[in-house]
Amino acid sequence: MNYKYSVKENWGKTSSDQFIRHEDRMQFHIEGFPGNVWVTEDNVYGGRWISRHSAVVKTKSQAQTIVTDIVDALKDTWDNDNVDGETSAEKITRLGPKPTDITLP
Amino acid sequence: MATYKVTKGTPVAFRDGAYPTSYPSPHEGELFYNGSSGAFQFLGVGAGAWSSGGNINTARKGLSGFGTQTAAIAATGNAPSTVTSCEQYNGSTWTEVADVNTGKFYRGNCGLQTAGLLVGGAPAVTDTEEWNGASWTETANYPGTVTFPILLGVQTAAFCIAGTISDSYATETNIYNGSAFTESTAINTARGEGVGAGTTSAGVIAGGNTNSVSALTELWNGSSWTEVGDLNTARNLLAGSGSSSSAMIAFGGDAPARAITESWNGTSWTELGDLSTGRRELGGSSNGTNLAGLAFSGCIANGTVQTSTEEWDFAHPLKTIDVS
Repeated sequence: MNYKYSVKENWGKTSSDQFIRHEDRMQFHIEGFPGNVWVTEDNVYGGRWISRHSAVVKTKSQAQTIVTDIVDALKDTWDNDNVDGETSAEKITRLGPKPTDITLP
Repeated sequence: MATYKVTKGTPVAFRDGAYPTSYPSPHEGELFYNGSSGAFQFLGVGAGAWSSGGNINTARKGLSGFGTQTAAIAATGNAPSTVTSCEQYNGSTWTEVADVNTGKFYRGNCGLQTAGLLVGGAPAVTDTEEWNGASWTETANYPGTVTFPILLGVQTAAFCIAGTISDSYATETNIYNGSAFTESTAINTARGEGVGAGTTSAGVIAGGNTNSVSALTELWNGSSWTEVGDLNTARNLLAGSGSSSSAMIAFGGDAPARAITESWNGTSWTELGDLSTGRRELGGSSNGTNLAGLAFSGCIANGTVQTSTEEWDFAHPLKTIDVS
């Protein structure tokens, strides 16, 4: 499957529209990532979704950089958030597991 | 001269307006002429899909989510600091309501927007809180500290199943009647962080953590637990929607953030359409249905908490046939 990459904030749902409609999900693959990065199937419906939202189109490399920068910052925050005497298991319970790398499809 | 229509044509139904797309429809797979729009249309095979709901105000993970698709509650959780706030959903918008008394994450939860229940949580606690639609009240403590038990049923008849007790995954179960807990039959495989649906007399639980991420499913008939068909994808920290032991959906979960949705029919799990944002530690419409569900908040693979909500609907796609 070929994909397109774009950036648009997910505004959720209003009384008259949805950021992702039920019919969208029946017509093309769409997947959300950190940094409001959206990966959409490269077909006519995915293209219409990008146009409908005026999403900012990115190359795969540009989109991956956005995601990676966010993950790296979260890793640093996780590494630096320590409590004296806390075990690694206790830290995971408190903060959740250390953020992991994400590779865009 | 004969036309193509005369020699090859097949009569189709005429309808003054489109067929309703709600599932199930007796008109599934039917081609018809819509007199109102002047177009041929086709009512496709019913299918489930997630679409956007209103964004929650405070993103959180490890939260307590219960209710239905159009009347849900998101309470407490971790963002990553523990939050005490509580929000209610009306089908399009989340609104802040009264805070819980004890801010925790990984609490067991069940019930409706007007009558909900929270049990236990992390860090380990015995607290139980009831929600009456306006405020939280602490009630009888669970018999021991418990983290991330699976809760089925409603506020006055809730089945509290397993979870982490004294740092170990447990098999024990207790039934809450609105004022006290009574010990019931143990499940077969100790676990926490799973999901379930049903009542104190007929229920199903699935997934979770059994010291490894699990796909195991168990069915309760009111007197005993039986191992039945596994989830297709083992996972913990997932959520579900359903009030019956024979009809629920399970979605999301670890590791590290699943988008997978599976539907339970009483016998087996079938994979259906993915969430648009894979996530774990999310909230769900615990007492909703397998045809109308809600997934909200939680965190994605890198740990970022989410404000987004997704609504699950099972419907028939209506296609307009372009004959030009």
